[in-house]
Formats: sequence, structure tokens, C-alpha cells
Amino acid sequence: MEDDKLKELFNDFHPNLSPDSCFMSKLEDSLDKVEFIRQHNLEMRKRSKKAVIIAALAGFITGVVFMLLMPYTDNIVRTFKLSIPQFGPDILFLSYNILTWIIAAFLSVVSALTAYDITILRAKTQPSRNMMMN
Amino acid sequence: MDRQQFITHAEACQKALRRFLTALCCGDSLLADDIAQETLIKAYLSSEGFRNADSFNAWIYRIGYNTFLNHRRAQKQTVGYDEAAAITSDKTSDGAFRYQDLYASLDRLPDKERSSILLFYMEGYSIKEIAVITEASENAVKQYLSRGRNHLRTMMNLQSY
Repeated sequence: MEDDKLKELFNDFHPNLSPDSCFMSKLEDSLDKVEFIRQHNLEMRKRSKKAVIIAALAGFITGVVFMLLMPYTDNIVRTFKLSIPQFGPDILFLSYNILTWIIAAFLSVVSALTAYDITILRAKTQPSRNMMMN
Repeated sequence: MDRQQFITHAEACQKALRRFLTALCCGDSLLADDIAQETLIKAYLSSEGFRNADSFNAWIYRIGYNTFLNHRRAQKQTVGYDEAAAITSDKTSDGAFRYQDLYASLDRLPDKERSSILLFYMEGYSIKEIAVITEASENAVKQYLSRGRNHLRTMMNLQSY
């Protein structure tokens, strides 16, 4: 079959399609939904970022406060009487220091995670601006 | 490209795209419309960085072609086209059967030959442009066109087109 005949064949090809207006209307509906989801995801990312910053601050502040209270916390830790008789007093002091730092780190992490959870929970209970506008 | 620009471009190319996809889907205009919708949504999702308005059509056809291939891969085995083509209608003016022979012939072509033939003869794209759309080499496109032409010639002659 010559090229011209093939071109003619397809030039005469006009299938019945649904009306253009219906097609475009359906497309615009879909694009509206895409935009809604996009905005919602953007807002969720902002809230998540805010939660991370608050968590980092909470952990940092907890760590700083604990460090400032270090002279006093040393005594508190000693009162738990975690003594290791077979080692000398220097090792004991070192153990107390390490234990104090471990507790400080632990409290900072717990504080950060708790702050993150609380912020995220609060964000979930508040409806997103998108939903409120719609 | 903002939303309004995208809609303007989509409105201009949607008819030709749907026509192309209907031929690619061998007459299934409902499926063609679904693929066209999916194509335009995918294009919209990646339209933010798209600057070259002149190549918008080729870009849309590329996405449409890939979307069609994805549908084909996911498609379950259905009734063969030959059985459907055997159904006759009393209404000789029924438009649904007007292109029955063409669809039957296109259905027998492999996807790559069919798409190359349609892009070249129906949409008027050059071999180079078809190579970009179908992500094949120019030599491969030439082979698909050559084989597709031969196959169509055989099938359409046998059906006394």
C-alpha cells in the first residue's frame, strides 16, 4: 500500500469521541483534587518541620538545664549508692560522671521525643487550612 | 508553566491525543479517554519545570505512549479482538463499526509498529520526533515503520479495503 493511501486512510479517521467539554470538565476536576492534595502535603511538611524544630529546642534546653544543675545532680546520683567496691575512688567518680552524662542524654532525648509527639498530635487535631477553606 | 497555561495547552491538544489513543487502543474510546486523562494528570504533575511550549505536544504524546504501554502490561487477558470483530450489526450506518477493519488490522500489529505508524501517518511526526516520543533509536523507528507498512498492506489487501 503506498504511503499516500496510508495517509489518506488516517486522514479519514474520525472516531466518535465524547464531547470536549465533558473531557475538559473531568480533567479540571482531577486537577482540583491534585492541587488540594499538593497543598495538604505542603502543609503537613511545614507542620512536621515545626515539630522537629520544637523537639530539637526541647532536647537542647533539657540538656543545658541538666548541665547547669550538674554540681547538684552529682550528689543525687551518688545517693543511689552505685558503688563498685573492687575499684578505687577515682573510678567511682568517673562512673558517677559517666552515669550523670548518660542520664542527661537520656532526659534530653526523652524531652525531644515527647515535644515532637505533642506537637504532631496538636497539628493532627487542628484541621488544615485547605479543608477549612473548602 | 502555571495551571491556566497548562489547561490552555491541554485544551488545544486533547482532541488529537484522544484520536491517537483511540487508534492505539483499537477503537476502545472509553479506555483511550481514561489513558488521556491519566496522561494529562501526569503531565500536570511534572509541568512545573516545563518551559519549552513548542514541544508540549511531543512531550504529551510521549507520556501518553508510556501510559498506554503501562496499561497494556497491566491488562489481563480478555476476549480476543477477532471474536469481537465477528459481531455484526444490522444498522449499516452504525458509526461504531465504521473503522472495524482498521481496528482489526491495527490490533494485529505489535505495539511499537502500531504506535510508529500512527505517529507518522496520523499525527505527521518525523522519524526523529517519533524516536524521542517512543524512546527508541531512529533506525529502530524506521524498521517499525517498514514492518508496520508491510503488515498493514497485507492485512488491508486481504480485507479488500
